[in-house]
Amino acid sequence: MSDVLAVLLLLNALFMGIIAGTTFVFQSYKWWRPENSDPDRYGIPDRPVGRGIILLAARFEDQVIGQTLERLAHLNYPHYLVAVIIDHPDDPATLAVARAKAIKYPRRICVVRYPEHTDVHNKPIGLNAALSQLEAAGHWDWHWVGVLDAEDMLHPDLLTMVDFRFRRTGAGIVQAGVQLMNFSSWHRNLPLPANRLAERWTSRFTARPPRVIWLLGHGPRLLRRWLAANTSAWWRAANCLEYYKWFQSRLKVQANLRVIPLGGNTVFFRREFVDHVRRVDAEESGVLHGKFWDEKCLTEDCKIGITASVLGYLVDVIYIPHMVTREETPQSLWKFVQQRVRWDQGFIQVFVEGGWRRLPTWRQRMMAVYILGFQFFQAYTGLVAPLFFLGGLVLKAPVLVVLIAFVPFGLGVIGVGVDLLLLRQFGQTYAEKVRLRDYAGLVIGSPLFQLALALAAVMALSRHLRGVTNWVKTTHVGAHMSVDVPRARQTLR
Amino acid sequence: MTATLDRAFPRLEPQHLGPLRTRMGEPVGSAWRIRWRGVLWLLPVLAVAALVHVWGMANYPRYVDDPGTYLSQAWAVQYEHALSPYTYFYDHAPGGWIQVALWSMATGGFDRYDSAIAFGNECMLLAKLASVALLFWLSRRLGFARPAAAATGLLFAMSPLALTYTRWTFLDNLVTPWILLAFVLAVSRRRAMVGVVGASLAFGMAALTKETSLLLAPAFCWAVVQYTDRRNRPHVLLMSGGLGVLLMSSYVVYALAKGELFEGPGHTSLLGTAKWQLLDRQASGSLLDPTSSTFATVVEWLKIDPYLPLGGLAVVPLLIFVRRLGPPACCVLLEMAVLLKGGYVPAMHVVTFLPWCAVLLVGAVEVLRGNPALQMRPRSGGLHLPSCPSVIRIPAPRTADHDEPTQPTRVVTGGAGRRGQLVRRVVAALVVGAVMVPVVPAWRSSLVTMTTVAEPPELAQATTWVADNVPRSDVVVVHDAIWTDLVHHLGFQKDNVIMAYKLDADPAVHDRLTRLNYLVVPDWYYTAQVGKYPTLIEARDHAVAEARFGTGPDAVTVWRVSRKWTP
Repeated sequence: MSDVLAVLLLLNALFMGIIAGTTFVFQSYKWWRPENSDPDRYGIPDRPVGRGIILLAARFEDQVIGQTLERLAHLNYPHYLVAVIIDHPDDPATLAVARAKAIKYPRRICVVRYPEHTDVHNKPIGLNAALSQLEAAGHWDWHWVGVLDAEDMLHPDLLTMVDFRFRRTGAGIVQAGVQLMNFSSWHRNLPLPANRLAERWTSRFTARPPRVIWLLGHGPRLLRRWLAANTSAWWRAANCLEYYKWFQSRLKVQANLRVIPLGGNTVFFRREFVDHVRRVDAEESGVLHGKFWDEKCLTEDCKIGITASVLGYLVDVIYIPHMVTREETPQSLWKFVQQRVRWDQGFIQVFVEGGWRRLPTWRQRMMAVYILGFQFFQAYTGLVAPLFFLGGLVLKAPVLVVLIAFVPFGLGVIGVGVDLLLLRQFGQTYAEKVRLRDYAGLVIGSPLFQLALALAAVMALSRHLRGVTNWVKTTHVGAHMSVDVPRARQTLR
Repeated sequence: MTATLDRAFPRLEPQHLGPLRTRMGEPVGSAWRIRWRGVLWLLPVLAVAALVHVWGMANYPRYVDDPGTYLSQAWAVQYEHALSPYTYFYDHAPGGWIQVALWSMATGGFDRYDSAIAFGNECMLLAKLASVALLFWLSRRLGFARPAAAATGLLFAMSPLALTYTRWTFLDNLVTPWILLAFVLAVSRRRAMVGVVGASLAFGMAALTKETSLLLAPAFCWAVVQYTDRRNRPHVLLMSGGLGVLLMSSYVVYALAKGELFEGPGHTSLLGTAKWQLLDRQASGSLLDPTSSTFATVVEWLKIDPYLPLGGLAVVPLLIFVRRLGPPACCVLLEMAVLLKGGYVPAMHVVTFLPWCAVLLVGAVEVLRGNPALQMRPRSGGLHLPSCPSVIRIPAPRTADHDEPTQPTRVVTGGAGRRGQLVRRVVAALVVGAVMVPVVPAWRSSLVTMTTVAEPPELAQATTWVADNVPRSDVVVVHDAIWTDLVHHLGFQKDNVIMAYKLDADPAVHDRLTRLNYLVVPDWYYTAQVGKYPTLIEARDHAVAEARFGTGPDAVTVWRVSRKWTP
């Protein structure tokens, strides 16, 4: 009996060692060789050639979309059209903002309707509808299509680089870097919460509060902001670093191995690839016009990435710090977990659907299993490895078991060290001050972060088993553009 | 509009998979392909090294304590799944004899020979050959020409001092290949993370083999920092350092899991032994003190061969400023620092000293003849433009992703150095010739002595006598070197064969002692410093000599202890 147990423990340790080891190998791709982090590794773009479409699915984004569209109307690129997808009756506020911009920039921005025939709101339905409507309206002459989110501040030169990479690499998809930015515990980066005392005064006496009352209410709101900033920095930093590692290293390895789940935005598809996907979908479902994106999938981005590998299209990943699309972390830890639940569940869906089984080589199929299951393996390893090792020490397990359990645990400890280094480089790259408490939060928070990931994994699994597949949307308040979007800040109060 | 239309956006077709290697940017295999010209130079060196090493290794040098100890521990790993046949007291990290045990498990090592020492000799031969090959490789990576790299290996193979000490089964001889491997991997011009990680894992293995190799850590770090690139240095250092420390700390974790990390009553402990080794153990004294035992040890070394160690030391001041030879020179300096500081210096300390002397001696000749890779002043930008040759190739800049590699650039430098080069070569040849005049005859006569000892070691003869004359149920006190033979081949009970120094050093042994029947140790045990072997000497006083082998202090007398005496 104890032999069986020992073998199980060893297999478990081996599994965790493999996961921890491959995590390391993948996330350090950028530093494998000096050339991998050479500033000029993507080449210098020439004059752009292709015509592009940018799809932007917006829902209840009236706070940020004006800013985004203003930016999108002024990109350094000759031929492109931005199509904003809005559910007209459902979301009049966003529609009003977008329509104003479309009137202001008629050659650059147009608004398309989210289909009325369905109550389900998700991104793939919107994207499919947009491409169909554009086609119907005569916009069929384009070379590539990009997908953005409503709060994405695109770099003006990014399209030129994307166009250049399409032509240089022969890729079917270019995934440009996305980076969460608001890692810091610095409280002034956050908007001030409401002055509750002053508000109550106003509502009761319908008059401006006297200065004394306002000041009395001001103290608590400063404290609340300070607390909010300092108690959330640990997971925000970890989340930002996830993106940092993901787009700089992991996605590149996976692109080379040709099994890659894409990011949800700032991703660009060649016309030929998109048409190929639709053709395949039409053949499979026996209809005249197939769909581009899978409308039932929670992570359509992951699925279309796997499809690209099945159909044999290359994916190019570019991460140029000053060109990345800056995003914000979810508003709260709970929102973060919910977002992760959706991703995890989407990965389960893609896995269960089994499209990955049509990948051409066994190595790719193996990688697909690894990548689709990675969130779960990672959560498991992150949670179990320390318990396993420390438990082994305390419970006086056989020395060999403890030694083997030490490997994944030790790799985890080095991982925290790598995170610290990355946080430092992150701060240097984006000229953000990294404070001592940010580092401390990252270290102290790392087991808690693993716990959050594990929680999300368990919830995703349970949702999948119960058959719950509704879409939990991530709300955007524009924390990453707080400096230049005073409006977004105001609306928070 | 027209300007953009004249360049069409290219059509796109799905592509078939290329091989993984090319997709990962650069052919992974190119760094590891076998370079046949190098192999052609290396093979004869290996053959000579093997011949010199094997020829007469059974009879020279004579048996000493440590090989027997390590082999008995390897035996315990294989047959008892313990780190020592006695209580393991963290005297050394166990990596060395675990490696020996693994080799034995794979090949049945202890069964293949009549004596464990012979198996140990085999292990040392393999380690020596690995060291010579790695020395060659390291020299090549440092920029030596092939003949020079071969000469480095030959120096290490032929030096009488190296030969003597590498024939003994010492942990240091297992350290040498790991340390050399660590430097070989660190000194890679690809500057890839995997190389440095491999290097620090090899260094970790060296430290697990014998913890004294940590002494060379500064030189190793220097080499690593020198050969990493600005662009990925922080990550490479963190990853490699972390993984190296992780590997080394498995020793600490082992102690922790056994509950033997901290000092405490009733058990041995890692920290307790380390404290004793570093602080309390009697120091050997500084080399500067002519009465110290360090001085005696060094004199002993120099009697066997003064040329390699002194020669290596002599060129250090010159080579420490040659960029690529800095780390090896630093190794020699660190080893010297230990001798001068006067800690505990065992005789085998010289083993890890000699390969670096070989590298430096040949390196000095290379510098003298004007090897373009070995320059005095470091050049900025990491590009080493040599002064002498007229044409060099600068490798094309490599870019990641799917870019095609461009052609390497040929830079034509001024041909003005050609005559100077010839002069330097002639001078170098003259120096080599002049040095060989005294060295060759001295080494020749030493090597002849070392390869032609005909008489088997006294302890081996004594073992034969024990096999023929001692009842298997008797309790025998033996020298470490023959312990494994009595237990493994001659059918004695493990507990009935006791290593002489364990009699008083290991409380567990002392407690279960009820009788002693035979004493089989060299005579110098009885004349060793007062109080070191009290039980042994008392037993000898109640014993009669049964047989005697050899003469002098190394002679072995077999004593039969009176049955009336109990310890």
